[in-house]
Amino acid sequence: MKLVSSATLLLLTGLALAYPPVVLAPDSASSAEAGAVCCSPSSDVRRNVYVTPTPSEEGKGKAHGRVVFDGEIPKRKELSITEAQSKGCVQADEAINKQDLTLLVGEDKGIANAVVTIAVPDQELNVPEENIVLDQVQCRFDQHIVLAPLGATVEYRNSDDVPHNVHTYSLRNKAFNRTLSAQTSYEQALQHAEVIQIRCDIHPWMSAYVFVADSNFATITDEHGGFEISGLAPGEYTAKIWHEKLGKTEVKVVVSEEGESEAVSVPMKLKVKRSRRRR
Amino acid sequence: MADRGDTHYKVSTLNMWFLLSSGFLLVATAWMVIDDWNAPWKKYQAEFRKIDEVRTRDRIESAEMQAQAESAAGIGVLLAEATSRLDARQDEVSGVEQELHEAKGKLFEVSENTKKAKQNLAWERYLIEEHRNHENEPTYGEERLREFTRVFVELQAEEEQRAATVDEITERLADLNEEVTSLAGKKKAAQGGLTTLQKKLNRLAPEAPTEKLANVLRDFPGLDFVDPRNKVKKQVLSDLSFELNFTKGARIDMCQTCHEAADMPGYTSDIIVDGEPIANPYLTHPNLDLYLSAKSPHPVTEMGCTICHRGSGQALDFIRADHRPVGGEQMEEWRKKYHWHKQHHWDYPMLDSDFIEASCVQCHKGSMELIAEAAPTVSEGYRLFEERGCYSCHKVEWFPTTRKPGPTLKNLQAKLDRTWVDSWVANPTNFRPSTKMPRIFHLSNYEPEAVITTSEWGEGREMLGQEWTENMIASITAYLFNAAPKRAADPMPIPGDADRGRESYRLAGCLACHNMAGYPGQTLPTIDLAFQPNNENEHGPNLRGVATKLNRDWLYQWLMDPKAYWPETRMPDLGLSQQEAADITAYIMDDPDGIFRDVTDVWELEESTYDAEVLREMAREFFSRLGRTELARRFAGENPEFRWDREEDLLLAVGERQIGHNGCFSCHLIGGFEETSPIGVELTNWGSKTVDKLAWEFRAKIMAHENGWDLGTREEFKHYRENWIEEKLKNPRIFDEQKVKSPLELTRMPQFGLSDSEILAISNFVVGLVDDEVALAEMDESPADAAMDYGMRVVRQQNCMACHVVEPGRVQFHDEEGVLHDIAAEPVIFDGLDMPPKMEDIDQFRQYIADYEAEFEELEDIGFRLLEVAPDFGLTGESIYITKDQLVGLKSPQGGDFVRVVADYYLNGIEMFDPEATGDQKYYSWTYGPDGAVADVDGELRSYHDQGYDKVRWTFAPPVLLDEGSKVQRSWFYSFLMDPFPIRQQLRVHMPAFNITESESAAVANYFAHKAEQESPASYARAMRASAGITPKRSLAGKRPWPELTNQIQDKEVVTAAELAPMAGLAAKTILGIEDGSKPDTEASFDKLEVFGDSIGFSKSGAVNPSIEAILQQSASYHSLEGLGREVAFKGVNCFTCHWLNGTGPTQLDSPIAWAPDLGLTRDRLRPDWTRDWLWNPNLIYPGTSMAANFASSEPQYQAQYPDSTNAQQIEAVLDWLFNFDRTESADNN
Repeated sequence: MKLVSSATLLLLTGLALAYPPVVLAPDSASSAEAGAVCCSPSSDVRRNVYVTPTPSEEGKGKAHGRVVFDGEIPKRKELSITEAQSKGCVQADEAINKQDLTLLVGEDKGIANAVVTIAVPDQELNVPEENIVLDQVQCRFDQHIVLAPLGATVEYRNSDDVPHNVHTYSLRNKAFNRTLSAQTSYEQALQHAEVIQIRCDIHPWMSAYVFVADSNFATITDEHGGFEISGLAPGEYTAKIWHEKLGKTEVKVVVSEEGESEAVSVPMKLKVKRSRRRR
Repeated sequence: MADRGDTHYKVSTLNMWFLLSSGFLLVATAWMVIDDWNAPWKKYQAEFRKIDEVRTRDRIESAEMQAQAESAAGIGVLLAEATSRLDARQDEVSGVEQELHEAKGKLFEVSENTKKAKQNLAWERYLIEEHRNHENEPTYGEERLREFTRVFVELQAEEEQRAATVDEITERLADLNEEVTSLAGKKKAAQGGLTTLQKKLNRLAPEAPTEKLANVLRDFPGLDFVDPRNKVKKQVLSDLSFELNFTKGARIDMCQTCHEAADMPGYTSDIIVDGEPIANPYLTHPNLDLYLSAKSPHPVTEMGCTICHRGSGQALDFIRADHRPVGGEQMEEWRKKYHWHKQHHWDYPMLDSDFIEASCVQCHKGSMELIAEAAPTVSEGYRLFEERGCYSCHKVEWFPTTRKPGPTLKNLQAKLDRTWVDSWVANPTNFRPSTKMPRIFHLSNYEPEAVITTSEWGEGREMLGQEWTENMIASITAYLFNAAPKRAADPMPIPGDADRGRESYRLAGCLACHNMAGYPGQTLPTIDLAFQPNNENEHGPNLRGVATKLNRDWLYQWLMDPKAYWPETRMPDLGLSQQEAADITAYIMDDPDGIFRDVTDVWELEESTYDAEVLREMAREFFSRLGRTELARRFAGENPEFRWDREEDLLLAVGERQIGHNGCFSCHLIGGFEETSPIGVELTNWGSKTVDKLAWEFRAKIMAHENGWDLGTREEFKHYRENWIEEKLKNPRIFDEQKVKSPLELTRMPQFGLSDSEILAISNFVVGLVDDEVALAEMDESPADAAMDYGMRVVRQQNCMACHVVEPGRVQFHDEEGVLHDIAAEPVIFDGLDMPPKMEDIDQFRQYIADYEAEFEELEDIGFRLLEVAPDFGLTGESIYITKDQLVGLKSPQGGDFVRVVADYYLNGIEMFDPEATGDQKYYSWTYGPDGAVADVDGELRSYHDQGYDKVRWTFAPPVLLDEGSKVQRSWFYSFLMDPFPIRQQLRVHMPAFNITESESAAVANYFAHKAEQESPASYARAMRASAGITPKRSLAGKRPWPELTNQIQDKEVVTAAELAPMAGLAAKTILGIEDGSKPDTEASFDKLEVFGDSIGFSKSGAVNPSIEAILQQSASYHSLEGLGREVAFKGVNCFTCHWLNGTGPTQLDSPIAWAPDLGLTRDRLRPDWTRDWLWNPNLIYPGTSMAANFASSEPQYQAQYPDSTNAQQIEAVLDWLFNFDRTESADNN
């Protein structure tokens, strides 16, 4: 089932204003220092958050909650990658990572790798000065979801000894398909907010997403489906949740004067096939 | 003088006679003068002058003209300033002028001297030569010769120098005057339009009293022969003769005497005169780009009016021109107003506006396909004439198709059983409502209860329509089955699997030409594309219900080799494996999905019956020449050769005659009728038949009666050729109404069940089949046009568009300033869906948006991906977003519906409907393998549900054929069509082997080559303008090839046509015209645009020239770079990770989704220029393709394989290798 194909675009109409300091990305210690971070390739989640709210006085509130799977926990299956297909990807004594990251539902039904964004009017996006690196290592992307602010630059890199190509499936940002021979890279400036799927045509299992957010208030859920977005001023917000396989949903979040909010639980489920329109 | 008395007249009487006759002559002359002065057409011209005056005043006051006036005034001020500035420098100017004068004088002097010196030198040389020769002194006079030469050379040098000085001074002078000269020029240009208009107004409505008086005098009766304002305007068409009462002369059309504005732009009903919008005869002819204007293909000066409109061109009178009312009401009105009546002695009355396209046929016989867009109705008629098989009964001499349209019946025993045929013949639409087979029986002249004849030649019992018809059917099927050998199809060698067959049926290509749409009134619970009819999948019959008709073994053999059964079939050989054919057979015959055994409610199998008495009567009719005695002998069984006492024999004898009589053999191949000529009336010249030769019988009167018309009024209106044929097509037996005829005299044309628009289309075509002089003077198509037309016909006949997109869809929208754009593009997928919307027409698309918004979310804007460079918006492959309000129209792409079927299956599987289930469970997705897996060509099951539309489309569906002529070599294309083989190994659908001749296959290859040639100036122009906006800007772009340029940029600006125009020295309109492919603009100005392109360093691979097969095998770099290219290909780019090579699979042999075409084919298949562009930037050719840009990085890669090389050098090396390498090379050699 394919709810979000190459073509997903997310219209976040948030604009720019500044808010107080926060500790971001609750699960990953590394992402507290926003910017150049990367998780170990073995991690289940492999996500990276490159957005940070600007510190400000009123913004001491936070939104938090969980994205949970509605339905039976789907069985995890390995990607089918034959030896011939992965020739040259790994050393002779190593095995290629066959983990399928498209839908990760924990025992507690938490959905990892969902992107949560909150549109806040008049915010100035914090664009990291350094390039955000999306590397190809052992014929896998080193990150599965990259959450980057609009205006950032992504550097696609190939650290392997085999050639890859970077084929982006985007609609508003210029789509391209370039070969990256061993140890080379290519930069792309993100000019429109949307979700870009990145694939390699040579290794059909390779897939990653660059979520271009038009907001500083965004994060990716951890392996329990949990998320926390800090730095919000008191008020009522709509949190939008996107998942590569489950599609989109949204939830209301109210941050009180004291900066408190109730934890929200967001259910997502596999859509029935019928939702497609073909005509 | 004395009266001599010998005269026989009286002077006084004579005077009286003289007076009378003078009086009579005077009156007659006056009458003549008055009558001429009063001619009705003059009133039209006077009225037109009035209209023209109003329009001219409006235009002078229009904002545009006012702006022109203002701008001219503005320039005038500048000009005055500049002039005064120049005056201030008068001394300087005079100085320079003086200098120039002197320099010219000196130049003259020196040139004269030079000439003289040259003559002297020649003379001296002659003298010396003579002397040397006579005196035998070979060295005589050398010194002198040298001296003379020196003088001449020195003078020559001085002359050059002086000339340069003159040029320099002239330039200085021009520089001084430049400002004034250019401003004066601009002022004149700015005023131009206005000045012309003012002159015109002055002519139309002069202010000066003398001129007014002059006008009165010019129009005065009796004086108006000198220089009248009212003049007959005629086109004398000496090339087009015209026959009137057996004499031939030049065709003369005087229509423009009244229709003065016909070829002048701008006279539309927007012009209001005396509170009324202007109407004919004062309007401009529609579409002047195509008709009347000098640059159009139909200039009025060469074609006149009546060639197309018919009517009498030499008549200057409304009625005698044979004007034709549109509709009965107008006719009544004309009768009252003009005493209108038909011109009974004019063979070609003016054509009804619905039939005007009929005239196209007379010249465009050889280009009916090419005019499809300009003349949609008559082209549709031409297509239907073929599609419905009209040509097979009615000969049209030049008609290009000759094959029998219906399937062969020579072997029908293997395919069908007799009861089915009985029931089918009785009424084919009962079984298949969409069938093209017409209905032959049970029509209006065989009313079931009506008496057809009485037996025994009018002596016995009455025979009714019902039994007569039943016996006709019985005898025909009896003959058909008897003529076909009793041979069953060879049995299926292996059993099939219906489940696997379901997948093969979908992927092997069946659904490209066949659909399974429900019967009229039947609602299918599915949105599966395979159940939705479209232009392409109605090419073959709708397959609903076929399992009830076909023989299983026959179906298998048919799928394996259609030609074996029906040599002329359009069904191609799909190249199926035995297993695939067996599986598909099982799927269709076992019908697990309830499709192929689903028949209409009215369908019933009914065996035909016969009655010997009726058969005998039929035999009497058919064999009347034998006479009563012989017939009686035969019936009694006394003639051993014709034992008609045996009913079977009688049945067959009658059946043979019935087939001959009803013309079954015209459409079907039937044993015994191989050489028989078709039964219909020849239509080659039908349009020239005069109305009185058409057998209206009682029809006109019956119509008048039915409609309550007054005979002689409305009936007359209906009484034209066009109406006759329309009546005939509506009900082919209509003219038998109220007639008394014997059975063999009854009309035989069958009922085709055509819609009104189809009837109009076919009637247009038939009315256009005329034989007058014009039609005989056939148009001389250019070889390119002729080739295009032939190719388009084959492409249509073979339904290439089912699988391949041959023309992109287009989107029309307003930009923010309200300017209308029309660009080739396809819609992008809406968020949350996995297939882009289908682009049919704007209403369907709006409905799609509404449905989406109801189910998902409001759309702010809609994306379209550009399919060609649109210089105002972006490059091929880029997306533009427009709001719903901006969207104005859509044009559906030509072809490719099957691509969606394939992509849908890979992404979603088949949507199945479970009638037992409820709710969402009603629909489930089905693929052959579990979890949405598809069986790949290697037999493995793989799931592609997580892939994108683009990926599966480019990988698993048939390729698009946009610009195919630039891509492949023509000779290769030709051979490939004759003997196709898989190029893309991963495709489940194979390019089938079409049942076409060598000439047809060449036509297709030629068509694409000529198309590419024709489109190439437009694509050059678009790319050139787009390149001008790419940073580094135009002037710095250098000589880099176009596709490389597109790789190097992330940002670009839009250079509008208006901005480019002054630089290129062309009008913005002309540039846009070339970009849109306008023929006149391209012919007039493309060279100039190309020169400009060169000057800014733009380079794009040139036009395909179909007359030259440019093959790069012998490229400039032939073999010199091959080794380096091989290194780059094998070790740098690693082409064989994905590409096949000479039949060896790629490294990614386990991933069919990564496979790419065999590179071993390149040297024979592709064009080098295209391949180079492709290597630079594949996305610019096929947006979204899996082929990556391998030579796009700003730091060239692959230095290890080709040291110190640029991207361009690497590409040339790879090309050298690709086009020159050893054919035995394989990917394994790596």
